Amino acid sequence: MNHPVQIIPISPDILEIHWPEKISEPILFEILAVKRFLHEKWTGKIHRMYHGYQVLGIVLIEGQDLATRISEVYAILKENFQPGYNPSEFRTWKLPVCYDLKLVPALERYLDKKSIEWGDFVEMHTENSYRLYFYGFLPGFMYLGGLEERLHIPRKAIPDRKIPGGSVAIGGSQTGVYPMDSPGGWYEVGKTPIPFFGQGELRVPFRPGDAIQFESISLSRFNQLKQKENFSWTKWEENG
Amino acid sequence: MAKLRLEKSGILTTIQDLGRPAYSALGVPLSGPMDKQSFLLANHLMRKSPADACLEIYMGNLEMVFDSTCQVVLTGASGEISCGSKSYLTNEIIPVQKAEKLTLSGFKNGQWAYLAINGSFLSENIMGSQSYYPRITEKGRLNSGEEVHYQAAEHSIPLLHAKVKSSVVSNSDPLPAYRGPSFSLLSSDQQHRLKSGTFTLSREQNRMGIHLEEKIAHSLPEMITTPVYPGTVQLTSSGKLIVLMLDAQVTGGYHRLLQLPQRSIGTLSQLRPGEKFRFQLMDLPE
Repeated sequence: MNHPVQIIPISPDILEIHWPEKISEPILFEILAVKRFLHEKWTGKIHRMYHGYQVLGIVLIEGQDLATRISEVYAILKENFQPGYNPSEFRTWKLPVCYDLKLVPALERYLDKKSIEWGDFVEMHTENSYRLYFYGFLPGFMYLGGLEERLHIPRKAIPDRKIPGGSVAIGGSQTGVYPMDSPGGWYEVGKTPIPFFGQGELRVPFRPGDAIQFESISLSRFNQLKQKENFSWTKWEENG
Repeated sequence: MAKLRLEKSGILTTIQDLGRPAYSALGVPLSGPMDKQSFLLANHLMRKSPADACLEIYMGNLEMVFDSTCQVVLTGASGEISCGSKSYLTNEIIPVQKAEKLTLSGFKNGQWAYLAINGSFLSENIMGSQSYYPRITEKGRLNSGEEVHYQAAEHSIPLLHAKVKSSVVSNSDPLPAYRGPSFSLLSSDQQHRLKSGTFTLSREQNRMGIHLEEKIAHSLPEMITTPVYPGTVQLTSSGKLIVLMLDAQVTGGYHRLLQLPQRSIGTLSQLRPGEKFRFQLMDLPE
């Protein structure tokens, strides 16, 4: 491990591993490696396991000896645990987003506040890819890192009652996609035609560690993709 | 396939099983019963698997009509229960005849009750669970006039059984709790308040969380987002205390002062707005 970590018992069934408190890709990759390792090593012992930016939470199946589990984690991490994550495992996904003001009139509000031209905004928002750190807040809501500072905007003091599902939005130093209708304090800036949920499953293939790049599409392309029952990610990647 | 029809649905009636642990990493709330002990007891009395779905009923005031003969049991919060012309107790097996109406009064004790059936409730299974969660399952709650499908078991359970005493009693025992990661950042006065102060449940509560009346003013720095769990006691930036419950989001950006274990979550869920309680801080192995 390249970072100092602490093991913190939370309750008789929950323990956490804490990395230094900052948002950083090397920390994310270490968390993912430890998570994968424990997933294999503790088969049948883990009830659920998920993480934030620098904390990995491990909820054990009830009735285990917490002290034993803690000493096992210490042993694993002391043995000079090698994250051994191959960066090529992570993919960059292109997510089609329509920024047309006819579809997303609310974008005007953001552009006004920021005094940015529509074209410049679209270019800046689609220029770089964003790292997916984890899902939280709502089912399928991505915590994405790497929003350019010029695009930051304080969250709305009074959250909107309903941000529609599929909205691409910016709040504070973050950008993301509302996977379902939800109250929220972020500014709507675009809309993706790709449904995040369907047939009772999360339909998007993005995993923590992957990168997401927004790709600007026209309103007619948006409507075309919206009609599709099944979005083929591979075809999209190939044809753009 | 048989049906029960809710003539009166009460405030919040849902189907609950043990939830969606396999989907936490995708941001899906755990869900499941607010009072797990009472839920497990209901399945136990019906000789069912601990993971089977029950109806979860908030505050009572229900009327339901079954269209086939079956047996049910109610655990947890209690009020008056009648079926046909007879009355029944909490934890007592109730034989229901075809077309008979089961009536629950408003609860006198506790808030959450569980109704298990000798058979199974049939409803959509999404991400490995029948638990209702708005926007994941089609329905977020059962409304008056709606129906629940069920399959009655072939064999009935003999009724000659020792009675199980009602488990929900408003008790004044302090709630066991563990110190959360931000506990040590509080001043010793604030720590002392959590250790021995009295706290009051506010009206602001639902399956996601329970807000407490008391506040802890602080100037702790902002945090970056971490995992949270049912039972996590959060301190918001304005000093509010929120106890996260079963439908809470999986991550949060507030300081985490305490973590309630399973049993404390169930006990707390049965206390009503205005009721008071204390925490009993416990130690964990290092």
